[in-house]
Amino acid sequence: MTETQLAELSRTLFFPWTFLLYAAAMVASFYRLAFTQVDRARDERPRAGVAVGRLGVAFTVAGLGTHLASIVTRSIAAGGRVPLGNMYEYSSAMGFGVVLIALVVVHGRLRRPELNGFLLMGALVMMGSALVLYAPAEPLMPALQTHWLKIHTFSMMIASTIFIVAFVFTGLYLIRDLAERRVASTLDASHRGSTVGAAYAPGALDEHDPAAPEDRPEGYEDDAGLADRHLYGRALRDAVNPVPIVIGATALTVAYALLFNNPVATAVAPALIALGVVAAWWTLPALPSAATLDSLAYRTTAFAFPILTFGVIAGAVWAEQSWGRYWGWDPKETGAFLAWIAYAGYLHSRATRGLRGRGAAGIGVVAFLLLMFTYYAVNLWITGLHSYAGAATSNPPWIGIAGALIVYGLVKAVTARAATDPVGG
Amino acid sequence: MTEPAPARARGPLIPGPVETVVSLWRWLRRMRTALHLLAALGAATLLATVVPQRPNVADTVAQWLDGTAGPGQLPARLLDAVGAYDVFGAPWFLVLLALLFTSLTSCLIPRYRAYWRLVRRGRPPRSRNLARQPHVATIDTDQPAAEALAAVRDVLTRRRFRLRADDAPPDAVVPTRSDARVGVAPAPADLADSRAGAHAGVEHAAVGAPGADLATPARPQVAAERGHLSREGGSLVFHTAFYLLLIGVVVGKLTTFTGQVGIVEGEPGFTDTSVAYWVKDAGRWWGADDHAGFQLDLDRFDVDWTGAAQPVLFRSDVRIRHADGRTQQRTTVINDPLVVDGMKVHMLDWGYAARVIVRDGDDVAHDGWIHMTAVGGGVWRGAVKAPGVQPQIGLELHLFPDAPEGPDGRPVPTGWPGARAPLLLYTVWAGDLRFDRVQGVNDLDTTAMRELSHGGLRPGFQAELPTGATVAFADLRRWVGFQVSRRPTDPLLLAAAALLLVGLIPALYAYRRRVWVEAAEIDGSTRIIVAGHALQRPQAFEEEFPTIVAALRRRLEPDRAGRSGRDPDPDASREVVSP
Repeated sequence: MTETQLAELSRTLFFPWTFLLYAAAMVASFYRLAFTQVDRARDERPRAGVAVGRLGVAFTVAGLGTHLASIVTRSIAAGGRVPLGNMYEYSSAMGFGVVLIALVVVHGRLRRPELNGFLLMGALVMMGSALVLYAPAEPLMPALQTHWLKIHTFSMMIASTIFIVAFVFTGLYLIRDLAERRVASTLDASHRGSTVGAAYAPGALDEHDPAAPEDRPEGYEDDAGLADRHLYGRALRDAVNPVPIVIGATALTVAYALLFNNPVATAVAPALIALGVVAAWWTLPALPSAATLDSLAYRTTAFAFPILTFGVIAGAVWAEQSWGRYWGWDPKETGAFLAWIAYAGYLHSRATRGLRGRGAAGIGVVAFLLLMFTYYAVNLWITGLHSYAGAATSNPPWIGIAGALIVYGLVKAVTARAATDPVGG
Repeated sequence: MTEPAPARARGPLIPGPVETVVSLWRWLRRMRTALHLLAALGAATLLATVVPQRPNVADTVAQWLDGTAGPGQLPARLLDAVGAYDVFGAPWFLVLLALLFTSLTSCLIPRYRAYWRLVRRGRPPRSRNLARQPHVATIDTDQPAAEALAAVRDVLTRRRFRLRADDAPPDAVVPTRSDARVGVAPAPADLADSRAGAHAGVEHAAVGAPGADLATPARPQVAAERGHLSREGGSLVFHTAFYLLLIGVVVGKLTTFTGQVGIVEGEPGFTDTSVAYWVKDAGRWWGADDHAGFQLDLDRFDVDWTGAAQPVLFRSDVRIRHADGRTQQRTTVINDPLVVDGMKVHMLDWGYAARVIVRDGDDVAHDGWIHMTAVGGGVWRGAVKAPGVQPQIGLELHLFPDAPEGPDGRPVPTGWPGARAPLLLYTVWAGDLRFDRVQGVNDLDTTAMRELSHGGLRPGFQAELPTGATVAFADLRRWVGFQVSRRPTDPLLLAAAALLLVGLIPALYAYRRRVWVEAAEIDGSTRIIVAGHALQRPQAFEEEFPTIVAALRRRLEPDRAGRSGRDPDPDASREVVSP
């Protein structure tokens, strides 16, 4: 089989199948999350959802198989190199990483399979962008023919993948926290704050988690004055109006997808994001508690941050070897530095009274947006030594400048709000 | 400053210099300030990402200012006014950086002191009520309390817990004077840690008031702690590494040398002296005699492409004559720079070099290699300036490396980057070359010139101009751009980066946890109460605590489990205990 045929096989057979399998797994996961929990809340035996959930896991495993086949055939077609040479391969690898983490870590180790639908959605968005950014399989240009390619890009890819997972947790935390906060505010003042998650109630992890295992049979009667978990779950869902969140998330994604100048991207990515937001809202009762989600987001970010640091250092070593300077404020280097600062800010904000919880999560969201900005915008619009995506399109700097102002304003707003809002009530 | 208390509470209306410095220092010590400074640094960096930077792409900046590219002339000028084209060299950026480092220093100084105290005298506080700790377990054992607690101390020490040295022995529970003194000692360290720890991502939760230490322990208690040194120590190493980075960058700027020069294959190369480079950037402490003085000639340059014209190989064979007369042949490819007498030689770029001879009668007005630059689409551009003839002559050159003749006999450029059928197009201008203006070596300022003629040449051919002069395309070779540099602080920077990582990992993953054990003798048997609390990473401790309890149980309960063996092999149980 020739290399061209292999590349075509990878692109037209394995990749679409992977996409479909992940999409099916995502739908199955959401279905399980949405309907099984209702049954459990009524103390009935879970029924349909479990079987669908197993099917979802099977789809995920099969999707990982075809994805691996796609990556390997692509690598062979490109002359046996590491398949991280352009944005198509990189995005595809990130999607693979997200699904692998979902299956092995989130499902296997953390025992949180209910979150996998959202992670699969993240992987699908990544893979969608890979499709849009397709580049033919070719050997690497000389500047990339080095071991540092493997070390630098691999660690950057792994860090970005884990940051995607962290972002999913952060987003879920924000919506769950909003619901918990609203429900708490309807309760009598002496209970206020006790249900509010995250750093405000250390040691209270899962105390108010209706999805927690059966070892907490008493539910919420004592604490919250609500009849049972089912009612609490309903209250959580009723407390949040999904429409503004869906509109906001969709608008943001549309604005982002417009930059690709690709109708498919502009239609599919916002639709996926909107589906994720609706799913998050509908499954609010079944989501882990805000405290748990916040803790998951923090742990995930703290895990990825040293990897990002190592990746940036490895990049500097490579730059010294390849271009004769370790740091030149090339747009991509500047962007990586930017994302690093933002995540450092997130880690620090977690330790700052008044910024924990929502404030930190806001900074986490901004950090992720900056990471994606570095990945997409710098690669696609801004020409520099790192622009590996192919032909750079026109450079719309005003979007970036406006973005800079918006990001700074967001950080200011988050910090100011948290400052006047020490208990987050 | 000697004002009475009421005035101090409000502060003077117009703060004096001392008050200003003190309040600035206080402001800088706040974590929130550090976060704002980080956010400002992020915003500045984002600006530098989206706005072209003069040190990187000076041409694009010029185009923005011209209005030929970018957002338009007025916004471009506004950006220029705030220094947005060289963010990292702008004065306000230096101020920001200075504020960040001052903030870092103000946070670190108390933390160093607290850490020093922690290392020297720090000991875990007692717990007043074990039952109220997040993790509690009980173990029943036949051993007497004192013996059991000794075993507990042994197990915890083996698990690298640091014990409270003045654990009250079972028969002396009343605190002595010294006990009370050291009992207070950790308090300032803990307080400082809770404030300064904020800078390190430490989630601090107070465990009992420091005053609890003063309380008379009701029962003998073992208090143990682990992770308190590695986490804070890692964080301090991480933050301290930034000073090393700063020193490395600043000293590097002062002592570095970077020079770039292009040499044509087969032609005499260059000698490493201060005058040899086209472009050079020498630090203030770099002297002319710091050059190594070697000579470098390019014997051969190889470049190859895939079928899609993507380059796959750049290789230069060079000959180096050292200052002491030794000669050696070396080969360099991208990513494999040469190191010659302590100077690094990188191959940075390449281009076509056309030898163009302009003759006016018997006079040679120009004879030299034109180092052409790529303009995209497989076209290369250059310029010839011949000021020696009257009127002055300038040539605009465009090279098509592969332009074979088509069916009608006219050359057709294929866009292929290799020089298979090179064609040099020239436009001749006559008039004033405007040497009074700054212009690029491959640019021609034609504002004071008129076009004479244009045409195309194959290598080895020449053409006659209307003035009677001739233009000859004598030869086509390639030139390679080398960068010669010396950065004495690179090892320091690498060490700082390594320290950054080495500190970051314990700062994020190590976690401070405390374990307390008490023993109570009830009816001839001893009940051991184990309590634990993690100040960070509660999930990790949730997994660790049962293993600690299990290790203690193995050590304390073998008799209960076996009943038969009153004399268990202590070594065997130790092996199980210590991983």
